[in-house]
Amino acid sequence: MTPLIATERLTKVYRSGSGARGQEVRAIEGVDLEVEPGELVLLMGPSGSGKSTLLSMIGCILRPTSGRIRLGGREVTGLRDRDLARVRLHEIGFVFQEARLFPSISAVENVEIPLELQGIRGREARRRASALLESVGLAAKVREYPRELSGGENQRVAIARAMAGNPSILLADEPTAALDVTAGRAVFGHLRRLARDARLAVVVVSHDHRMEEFATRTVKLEDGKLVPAQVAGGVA
Amino acid sequence: MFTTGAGIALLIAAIMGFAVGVAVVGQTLYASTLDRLREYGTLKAIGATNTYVCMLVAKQAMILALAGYVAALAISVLLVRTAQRSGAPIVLPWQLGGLLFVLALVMSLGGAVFSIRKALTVDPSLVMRL
Repeated sequence: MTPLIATERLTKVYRSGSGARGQEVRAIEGVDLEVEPGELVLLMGPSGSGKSTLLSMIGCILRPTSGRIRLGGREVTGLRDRDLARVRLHEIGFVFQEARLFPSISAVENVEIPLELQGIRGREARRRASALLESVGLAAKVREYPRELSGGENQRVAIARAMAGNPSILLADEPTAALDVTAGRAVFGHLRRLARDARLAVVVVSHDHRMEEFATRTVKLEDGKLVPAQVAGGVA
Repeated sequence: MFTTGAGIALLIAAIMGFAVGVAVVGQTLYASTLDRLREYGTLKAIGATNTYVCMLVAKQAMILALAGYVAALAISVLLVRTAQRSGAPIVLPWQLGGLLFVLALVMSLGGAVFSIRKALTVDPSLVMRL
């Protein structure tokens, strides 16, 4: 099976300071990672180990210093900004730590944004966005504003928004960091179902070991390098 | 119009008004853009192109132009009617109204240039905790 995500010797070097005295920080070094359809990979590691940097590079919002990234078998490493935006819109769904919903518009309008970016507007966009909110258990809250929803509900809206572009890859950066355990488990349950039922490749950055039961695989990063992976139990 | 100093003074006042308008619209939009940098970052992260972001800021500028124009037109019509009653009529042909609308649009879009530049430089990685 062709992996939906494949990184090869992926490296990211930041330079702190300027000139000759600038210091190199190797945030990610030589990471080889493959994620197949239907997998939910949990990316764990201590703070500063490079988890979010790796996720950002896989998500085409940060360019690697060296190495290659293939998404759905297509090399994306050298693409121009405009083409990377297109890859993000059509291939990748993002769930950020703080949901990052737009506060001045309703839940359903937030979910419509990726559809609008894809040129789908009006009733069709509203129908699809409402169906996505219903799929995450928020049918009764489509017209509510982010400030009127709980943290867990906002993250579920963010999941619906991430799915609106019909992506094959879903990336989540600490989606449960600000949630209690019950809300966190609900969010992970949705992510797990998306991986299993929609055959998405899902990569989730998390500090929470309690969520390992939802993962098909846990990958550990330390000092920017992958620690050999272990197969987790997984929840059906 | 230019046979007396009054016409030139009026023209200079109009040019100054235009310049002040550009500055005010520019300040308002720029402050709004700074407030929303993370939102622009989120938009870019989920796949918005620079063209989309540029159009979004331009749309805000045009809404400001329209709101300002409607308010100014209402005040102008009120002034014209008041002037007519006082025996010193002011002529406000519809062509002038149209020209002023175009000028308001130009003024707002001119004021939006710095906001557009700022929004375009937002890095989508801003939304990640790197």
